[in-house]
Amino acid sequence: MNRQQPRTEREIVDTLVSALRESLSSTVIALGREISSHGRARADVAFLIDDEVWAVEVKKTDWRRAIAQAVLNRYAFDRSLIGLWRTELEEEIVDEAERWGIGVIGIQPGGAEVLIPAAQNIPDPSLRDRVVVRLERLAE
Amino acid sequence: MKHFLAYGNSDQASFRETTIRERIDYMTVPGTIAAYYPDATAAFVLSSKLDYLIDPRTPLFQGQILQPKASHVSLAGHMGSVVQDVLGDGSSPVRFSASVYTDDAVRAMASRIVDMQRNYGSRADDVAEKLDYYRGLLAEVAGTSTAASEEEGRPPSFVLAPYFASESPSDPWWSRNELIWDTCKGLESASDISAVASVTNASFLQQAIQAIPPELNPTSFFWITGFNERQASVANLEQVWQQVADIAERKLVNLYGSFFSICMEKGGLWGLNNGLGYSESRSWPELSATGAAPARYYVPRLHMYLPPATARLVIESDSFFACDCNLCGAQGPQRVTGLRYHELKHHFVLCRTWEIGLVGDNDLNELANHLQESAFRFETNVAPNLPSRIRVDTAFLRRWESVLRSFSGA
Repeated sequence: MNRQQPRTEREIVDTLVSALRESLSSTVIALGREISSHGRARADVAFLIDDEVWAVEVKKTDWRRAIAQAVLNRYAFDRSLIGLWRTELEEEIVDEAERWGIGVIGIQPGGAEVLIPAAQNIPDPSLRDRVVVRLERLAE
Repeated sequence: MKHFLAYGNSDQASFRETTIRERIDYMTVPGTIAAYYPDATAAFVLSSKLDYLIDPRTPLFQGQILQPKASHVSLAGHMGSVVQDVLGDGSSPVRFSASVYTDDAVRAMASRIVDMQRNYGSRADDVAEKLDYYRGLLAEVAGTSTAASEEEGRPPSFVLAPYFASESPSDPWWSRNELIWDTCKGLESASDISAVASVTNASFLQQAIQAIPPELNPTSFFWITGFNERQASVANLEQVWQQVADIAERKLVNLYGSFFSICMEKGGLWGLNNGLGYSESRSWPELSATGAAPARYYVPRLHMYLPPATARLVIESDSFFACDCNLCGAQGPQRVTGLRYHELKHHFVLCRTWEIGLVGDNDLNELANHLQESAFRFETNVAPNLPSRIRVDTAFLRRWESVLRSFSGA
């Protein structure tokens, strides 16, 4: 078995969170997992970076579902991205993400990299504010 | 079309809002809530100034209850000693077979359930302090008087006989329903008591309703368990419509229905009940598996709920689906995701009122055209523009259209 491949979605999220904490420690103000965002939805990873709120939907295989969730996250976050294991990334995924203004993070052992930048959204102020409050509580 | 709106635990604030109060005809109070919060519910209901009824929800005591709830125990207290004895303290699973309901048990239950409703208005004397409190809350929002009034002692507008879901005349539960009705027939003022025909098989509806004794109230309620109008086939929808249309002698109220039921006004349906933001269909025996309504946005031209973010995506794809109610108005699709929980409920009532008006103002063919247009716009302008994993099933619009056309003669 190739242990370069994650066994679970949780492993990918762990890798992403570690990478965000290390590489962005100077700019990420608060970071949380499973952050309630809109309706019953929860963003896998959300964080405050500079003046913006970002969300990342992480999936091990079902990238279409990640895109769908990320599209809806645009109403609550300034930037909405998907996070996939880097070796799983295909042109079709990138094309679909770009169609919706969704960013793409490639995740690999020991790091993560924004491969496609996310467009700036105009989120619903009330939803965004609620996310910010939740994240700020985590930072306290 | 009379609009019955079911009251839930989280709905008190909504029922104080003038926008809602002015747009419903009756408030339906679940027997479980009336029994579990007896004083607070009585004070809230009686101070509300709304016409109301209490749904005894007796199918909760039909079949197996794996995990009895405290509200089961409370409601059992109104159903007679046999039901109480079987349920016990509610700490372990129980099974209510039809044989539990002996003739004596049924007669006792029917009499007690009817009395509980008939005497509900007199509870005002027992809860005077709470009435003051709830009257004050209502006055703050609706500008009503804070003074006590005789109106607070009013009885429910309808007294519902207990009922059990049954499949056919050979179902042992059916004989219990017949005995309930026979008992009610012998009670004082039997003509005030409304029967509830609860059927697990849609084809049994007409026969069940026609078996209701003429001595009972000409307004009858029905519940086709598990019948979801958005999932039902054209054949099943037509069958229900035809059965309702064939019962001209009774005013019928569907306890769980959606826009399709509103359209059935053209077939003779008199009233529609649903929850505030949910309960447009209900399964049995999962009657107890309910809770607060989820936070969903009702898209009026689709006649369905969607998660708010999905609804916004739909509206951004085609503004035809934007709502122009007082809450959404001219604020654009971004308003959809900004509505708070109670605003989503208010929005739903405004939409339901619009739907009732739409049916009142249009004939069947025009309504079919409306459904056709919604389906076409969604299929053409929205569906191709949704991410593939966001599935919004609007196929029911075409099925409803088909049913309406078949009864329009077009």
